[in-house]
Amino acid sequence: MSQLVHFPKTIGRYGQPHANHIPGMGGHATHRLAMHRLATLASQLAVAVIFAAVWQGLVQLRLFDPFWVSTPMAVASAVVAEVQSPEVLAAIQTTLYETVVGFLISVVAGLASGFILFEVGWLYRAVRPYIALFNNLPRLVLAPIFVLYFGIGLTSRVALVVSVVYIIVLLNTLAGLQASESDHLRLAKALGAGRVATFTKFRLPAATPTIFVGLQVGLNFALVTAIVAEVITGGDGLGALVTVYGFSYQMDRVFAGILIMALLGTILSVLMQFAEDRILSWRRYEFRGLH
Amino acid sequence: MNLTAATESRQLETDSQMPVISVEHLSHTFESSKGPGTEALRDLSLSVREGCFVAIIGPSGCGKTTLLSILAGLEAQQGTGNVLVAGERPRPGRREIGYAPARDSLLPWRRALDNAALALELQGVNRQQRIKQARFALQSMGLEQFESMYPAQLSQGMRQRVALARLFAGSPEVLLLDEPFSALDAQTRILVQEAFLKVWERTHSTVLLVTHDLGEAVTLADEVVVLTSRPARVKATYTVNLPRPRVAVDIRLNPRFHEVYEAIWQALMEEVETQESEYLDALAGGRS
Repeated sequence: MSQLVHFPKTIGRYGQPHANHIPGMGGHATHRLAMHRLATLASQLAVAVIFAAVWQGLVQLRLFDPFWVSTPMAVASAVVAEVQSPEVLAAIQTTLYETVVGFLISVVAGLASGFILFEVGWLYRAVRPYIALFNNLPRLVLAPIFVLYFGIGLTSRVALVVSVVYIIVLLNTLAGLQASESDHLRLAKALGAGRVATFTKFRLPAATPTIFVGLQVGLNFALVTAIVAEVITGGDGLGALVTVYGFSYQMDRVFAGILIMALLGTILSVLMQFAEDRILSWRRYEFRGLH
Repeated sequence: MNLTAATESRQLETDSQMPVISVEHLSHTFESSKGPGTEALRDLSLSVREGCFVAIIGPSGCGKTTLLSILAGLEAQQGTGNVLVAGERPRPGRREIGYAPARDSLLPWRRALDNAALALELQGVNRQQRIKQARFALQSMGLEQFESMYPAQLSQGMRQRVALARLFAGSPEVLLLDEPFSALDAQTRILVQEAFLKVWERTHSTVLLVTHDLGEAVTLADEVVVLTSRPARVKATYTVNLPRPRVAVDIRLNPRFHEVYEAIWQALMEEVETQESEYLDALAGGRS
């Protein structure tokens, strides 16, 4: 670790001067890091180029029929066309709405019920088997029921998203709250922390990394579930749109739609990672030794 | 040189003074769902006078941490006997009592300053006041430059000194220390002990330290209490009449350090051997 922590120059009696630090090395190291990043980016780009070339080659050699697999160029131009079409933009908006609203409801409900179940032991013991049962239920089969109850509109899809994501958030919240170190809890007790202080100052901060695992996975599942719900119910949204493209054999537009879904998911995931890095800034130092 | 006798005469002089920590005929048995339970302490009595630094030493697993946990209010008393700490029965979270666990137990999501302020925060001291006190405590540990660092950014020795800053920040009158230096390597341990001594010799709070390191006990304490193997009783009490202020690095060069060390070592070894042979007997018994 000592190589990664930068000590100020005057550090009092116990501080040791930084043995491995050579003045002037900073610039060189930064330069090497930049080169390394550039090389990584180039290699990542190369993977995409090779993938497209193989795809194009297989079509060119008549090993694959472009009617079924389209071509990289056709898909690329379809992506450009799709993101400009008002119909597709409306579909993206619908899908995002279902994803985000369903996710937020799940987060609020999952965190709140997780906190309550953790603190009220008898309640947790009473409902635990049913949480396990619900978790093992393939919740996508609830889609027809939600359609019956809420119609084929946004509400039934949001309901399906909640049914999938809520349990993910809940289980990770519970797991995080149970993960406090016994040393910390002993200290909490010795320092006279009551139930509220033990929760807010010891349990919850310790649980936050695990809760964020649930949020990341949950957000991913929220988008996937929203799209699958659209495929099932039809109507609007990206899932429904791509289904229609498929039924009409517009393979370039099908692949373009799938690519847009993947990009949406990636953007959401990056935003969540950004929030996590902000809130869990202390964690940056925890794993530094591993890099 | 009769060290035990010296202790007794000193105790006679100060008999009128109420001890800050008093343990009288304390017995403690851990209950067990199967079998009779484990007897940790049996008829244990000791007292610590105000401003006195007492170290408790004994074979590992003898029950010394149990004793400290009872004093800190972490372990409910199960058995007979009377315990008083600063005039009250043990109860966690008292302002006048500082507790330091084995290992530093710093919260990784708090910066050094907020870790040092933790005890004060839980006592309800307002933010401005507790930051001021925590900052002063960090300064006295030589860590003023590191207050905004997270524990993962600090070395083991620095982390332990942050934990000591947390201990001293509220200026408690009584310190209960549960092997707070045991996780450190030998060189770091001496440096941290020295940092501790510097602050303690200024404040002169009453200290009960549990340790398995005899060198540490002799370096720091005014009195060393040797406990027997389990169930723990007081085997003997030794006065460490080394001058203060002490410097942890230098005190081992003092010939009296070695006199005291060797006298206690004999007593301690007897108990370690008893504990070992009992352990082996138990193992053999379990096998047959």
